[in-house]
Amino acid sequence: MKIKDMGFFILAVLIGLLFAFHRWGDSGHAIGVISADGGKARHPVIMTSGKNHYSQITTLSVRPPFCGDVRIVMEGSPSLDYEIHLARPFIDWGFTRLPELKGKTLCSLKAGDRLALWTLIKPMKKDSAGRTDNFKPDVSVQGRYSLSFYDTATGYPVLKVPLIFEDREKRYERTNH
Amino acid sequence: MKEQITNPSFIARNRYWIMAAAFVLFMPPLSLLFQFTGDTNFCGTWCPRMFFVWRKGMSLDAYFSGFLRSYMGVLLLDTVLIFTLFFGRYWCSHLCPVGAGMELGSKLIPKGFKIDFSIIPAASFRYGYLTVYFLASAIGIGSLCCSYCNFATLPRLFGAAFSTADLAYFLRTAGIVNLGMVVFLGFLSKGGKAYCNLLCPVGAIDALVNRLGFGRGRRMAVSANQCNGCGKCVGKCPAWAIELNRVNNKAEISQLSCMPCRLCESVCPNGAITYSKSMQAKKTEYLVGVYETEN
Repeated sequence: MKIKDMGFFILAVLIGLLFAFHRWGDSGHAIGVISADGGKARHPVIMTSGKNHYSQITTLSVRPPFCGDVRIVMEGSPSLDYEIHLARPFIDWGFTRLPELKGKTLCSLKAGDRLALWTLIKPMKKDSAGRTDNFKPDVSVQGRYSLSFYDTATGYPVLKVPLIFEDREKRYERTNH
Repeated sequence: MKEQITNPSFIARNRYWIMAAAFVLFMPPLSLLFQFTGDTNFCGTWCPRMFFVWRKGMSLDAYFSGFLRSYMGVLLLDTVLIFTLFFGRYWCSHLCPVGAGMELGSKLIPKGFKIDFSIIPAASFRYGYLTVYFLASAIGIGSLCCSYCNFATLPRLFGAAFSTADLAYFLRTAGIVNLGMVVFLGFLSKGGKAYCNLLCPVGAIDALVNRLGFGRGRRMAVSANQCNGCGKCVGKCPAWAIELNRVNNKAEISQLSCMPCRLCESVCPNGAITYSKSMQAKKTEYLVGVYETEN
């Protein structure tokens, strides 16, 4: 192997290691299963405190026999401003039935469905008077939250995805996907 | 004896149309092929680049459940590799919608803005990155699989115009970094294939199989008798796979990088480059090796 080849091999290894080791902290990926017995998230999503906004993707599958509508709520204190978007093809050819998202409710879920949900989170807090219509940015959000999924028919949770906002130092001590 | 120069085949002549068709079938807004399995993009069932990666602490069950989860990706990658073994890297040159998107996109960029990355020895860089791709997950220091993924970025780049969910991918630092890599190493690179040549794990594995299959299947090959060493093919090759041998000034094709885009074939004034059974090419390579050793 020539010196130039060896040099670029080592450079690629170093770049790869840097990429692999570094985590941006404003996004995360959760994998979960929705089921009638409470569901299961594979691991918590850990994000770094102090960001202006966060983006989280949750890939879900629905385990039988569950079917029905599911309401999605971001739980934790202080409350966060968040939007939820369901990945769907722009042109639906109708080969398979796809669930729909209406507001923050997933409609007509059936066993075997697979979904990708994007949650856009803005750390905001209520003003001193506790008014929800006058949110202010709170870039130092910390602590445990959860993206919770409730069966609208029974009110029982069918999945809870833990979201943890913590300092960068703590974050690097953990293993996160 | 001088070989007969043949007309390029249908596949060679219509490469850009085939790429465009693959692009349309896989990419938004149609996303046609994904919808047969209820998907919208490569992430999930169709992911061809993550299921084979072992993660630290993973059980054997979890490892193989990744294969089941991405069953279409497994099928796609297996098909690509088997095809490559016998016919060369047609997936990378003609069919990959991600590579096609970047190469076709680069055609829209004026030449003055293009960056020539061919000074980088592609194979060395590619396998350095691939080594970390496998090892980083295995030893638990992080992952390159989803965080830096061309198969996740490009479909969402085109989908962002139609879907907020796709747009959300870019509303985070990792998405912007991925976008930068696709733009810098794809659209702005000369030939549009720098991302494919340097960072794509599917391309890297495919190139290994291409090299392993050399001598068994069909490959691009140079006839040393007909090559006049003009070097036109060297500048044209988007995979940076051709070099002029310093000893005999004949073009040589690295099967560790070559994808049969057939651009070299189309510019060779002597018809010295052909897509043919690689057994003959292997003999030629052996003879060149003997020649170099003896001189």
